[in-house]
Amino acid sequence: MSKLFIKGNEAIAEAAVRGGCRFFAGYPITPQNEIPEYMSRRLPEVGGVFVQGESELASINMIYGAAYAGVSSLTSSSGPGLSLMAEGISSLAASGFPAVLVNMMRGGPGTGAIQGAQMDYMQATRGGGHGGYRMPVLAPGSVQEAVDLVYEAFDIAWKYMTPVLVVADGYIGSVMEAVELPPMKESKRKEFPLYTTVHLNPENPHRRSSCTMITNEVDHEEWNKVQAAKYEKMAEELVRCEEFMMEDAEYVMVAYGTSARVARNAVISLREQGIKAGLIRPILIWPYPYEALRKLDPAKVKNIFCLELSIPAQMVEDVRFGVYDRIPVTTYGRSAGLTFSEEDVEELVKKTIEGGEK
Amino acid sequence: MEKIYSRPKALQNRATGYCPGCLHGTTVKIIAELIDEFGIQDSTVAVLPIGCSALDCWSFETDMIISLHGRAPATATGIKRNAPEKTVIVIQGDGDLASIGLAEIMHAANRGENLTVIFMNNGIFGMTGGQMAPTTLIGQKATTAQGGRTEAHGYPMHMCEILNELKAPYYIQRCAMDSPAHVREAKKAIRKGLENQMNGKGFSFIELMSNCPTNWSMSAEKSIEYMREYTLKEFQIGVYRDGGEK
Amino acid sequence: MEIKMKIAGTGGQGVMVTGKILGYAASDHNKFASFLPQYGTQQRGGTASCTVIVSDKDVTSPIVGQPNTLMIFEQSALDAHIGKLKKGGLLFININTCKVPERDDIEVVAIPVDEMARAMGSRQVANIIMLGAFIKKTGCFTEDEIIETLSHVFESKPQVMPMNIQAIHEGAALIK
Repeated sequence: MSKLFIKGNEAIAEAAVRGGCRFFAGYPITPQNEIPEYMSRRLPEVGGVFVQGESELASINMIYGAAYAGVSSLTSSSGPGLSLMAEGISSLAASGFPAVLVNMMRGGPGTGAIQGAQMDYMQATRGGGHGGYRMPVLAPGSVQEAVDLVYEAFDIAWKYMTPVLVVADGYIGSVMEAVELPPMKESKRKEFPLYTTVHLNPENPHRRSSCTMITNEVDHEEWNKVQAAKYEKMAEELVRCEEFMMEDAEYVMVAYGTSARVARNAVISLREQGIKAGLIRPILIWPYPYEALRKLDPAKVKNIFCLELSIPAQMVEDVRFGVYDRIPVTTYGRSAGLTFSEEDVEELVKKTIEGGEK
Repeated sequence: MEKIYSRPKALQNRATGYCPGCLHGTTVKIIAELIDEFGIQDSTVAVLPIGCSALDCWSFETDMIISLHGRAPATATGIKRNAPEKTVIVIQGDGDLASIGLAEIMHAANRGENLTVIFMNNGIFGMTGGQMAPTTLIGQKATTAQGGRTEAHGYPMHMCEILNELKAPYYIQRCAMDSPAHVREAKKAIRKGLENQMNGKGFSFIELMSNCPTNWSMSAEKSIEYMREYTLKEFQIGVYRDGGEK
Repeated sequence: MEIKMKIAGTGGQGVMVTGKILGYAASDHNKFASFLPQYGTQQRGGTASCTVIVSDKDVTSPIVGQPNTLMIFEQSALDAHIGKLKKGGLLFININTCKVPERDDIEVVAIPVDEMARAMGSRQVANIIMLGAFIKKTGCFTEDEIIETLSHVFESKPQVMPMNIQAIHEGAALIK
């Protein structure tokens, strides 16, 4: 199959359409504007609907309605927009509604920076909204992987009946690379059964009654238990990570997204210089691949480097949860739209080695 | 014996959950009667808000969804655009529609979404316990304006008039629920709003002036008198737009 | 072959287009590439730069800390990037707007692209003249290959092709 040289944001939009997306609602924010722009012209071609919401609040609630109607739908935004959507995402999760959300991450906090960054790790992996829900968080490391994961995200959303978040740093949205696009999937509206119908209208269970406030405490807790079991199942079944040159690695980098691409180059270069470096790259950041860290042998691994386009470091909390205090962990990152290079990472590793030998 | 009236099929067989004397129960009844009349029970989706109108979930025997506070028009947009064969009825109170949800109602109206919006205006936040709403009259007491609303809190907002500034809406009418004659008028307006949607005409907005005996701290009778003496003087009933024309 | 380059100048000098053309050319002619633009908040004007990788093997990372090649259209852009250019690296500059930097560990290709473009009758092809010199010097694409790609890029404006073809040839002819 021939490859297409295409910008990340546009590739993501096309992958969503091919994955079955037939409704998009969103509000402009840099650096993801090519996604709604592409959707506005593409969705009508496949019988889908595009609406530019008047805000992120409206957009996520349009997705809420579309999900209720049984349509595979997508919204995309960046950090500040995701913050505004938090209540809606919590409600999608609370209702057990399928939808796919893209966060093309930029610098933060606050208005932050329009350039790419990885500043929303906590927001993404700890829910972002209220009430203690969980959702799968896919973190592509290239445009091709973004295509593959967005395509798969709709299957995950429908399999587990959950919102699915795809977090990519702005570099993945704005870079152009050659990608292979997956085939177009058939997409049909599917009016799925709703748990809350049992509560709101027990005598007519065929009615579709949806509500996130279940006033009967016993029913409500029962639903919380159903949801909690689902979160556990997702945590068990969706863990995915790539291990690169890890067999004999003494210096282990942990990074996702564009950081992982830089880290991979650093690993290759360090290996050429005789330093046994390796890389653990989470492909989903929730559930987190703790096992890849737990199995590290402290007698072999001398140092772990947690690399992120974020200051302060965020993912380190998950890394530490995986390694406890068995192996030293060094955090390193850049932020505010600045990046680190493979040379920066190499220097960091070498300095650590020198420091350790003194 | 001949049966001359029975509970509409589109109404569940249980108490509404509304306070004694509240006119919302009557509203639910006439909407349910119209759903029966049009034979659309199985294709109707009621999009309910946060606030007392959410209690409609105990009343309607149709599909429904309780949306987030203020966002019912956005949720309804998501449903109607994807399931155009449904009749989507949006019901919102004044706190929900005119305060937190102002952007959503304005833009759904401005897009001319093919929806029927029923706006229950009783001039107060009911469910949360009588706080001031954007529709509270000057001088009217609320738990967050205990000496009565003053100009420092702004003036009552007239949603029919505001929406009538937009080009896209097809039908805008304000009715009142205070008397049998007015209720019949309201039912006629809602019938029109539903017909408009079924004929693909676009956005219909029906504001229903209502009461809140509990939070106005009045008897049911007194609340009706108050409506007639004050509320309906501030909020003029009438057809603001019919058939897309001002 | 692995060219890890930065292209930089001010808005309107064709910085982004030049980078994209190289990406499309790689895609058209069985090479690997990435194109990463760096924008400011301004819609017009301001500085423009992009990172381009053209390689015989798959691109691991589109982020380049120390480029081995620079293509610079403006003095301020040269000042910003020259310190990062690798030892033994290759610098293409618009000599009408830039001074040759004081580094003896790099190779400089200085071309009066503005002057040449004016002589050709279109200021807009300055970057294409530079591109012609670049492909000839690095050998990453032949003149025919890049012209084929240009014909795809300008599919909707075939009238600009003769000028662009001339620009590629004139740029390439400067490299002996």
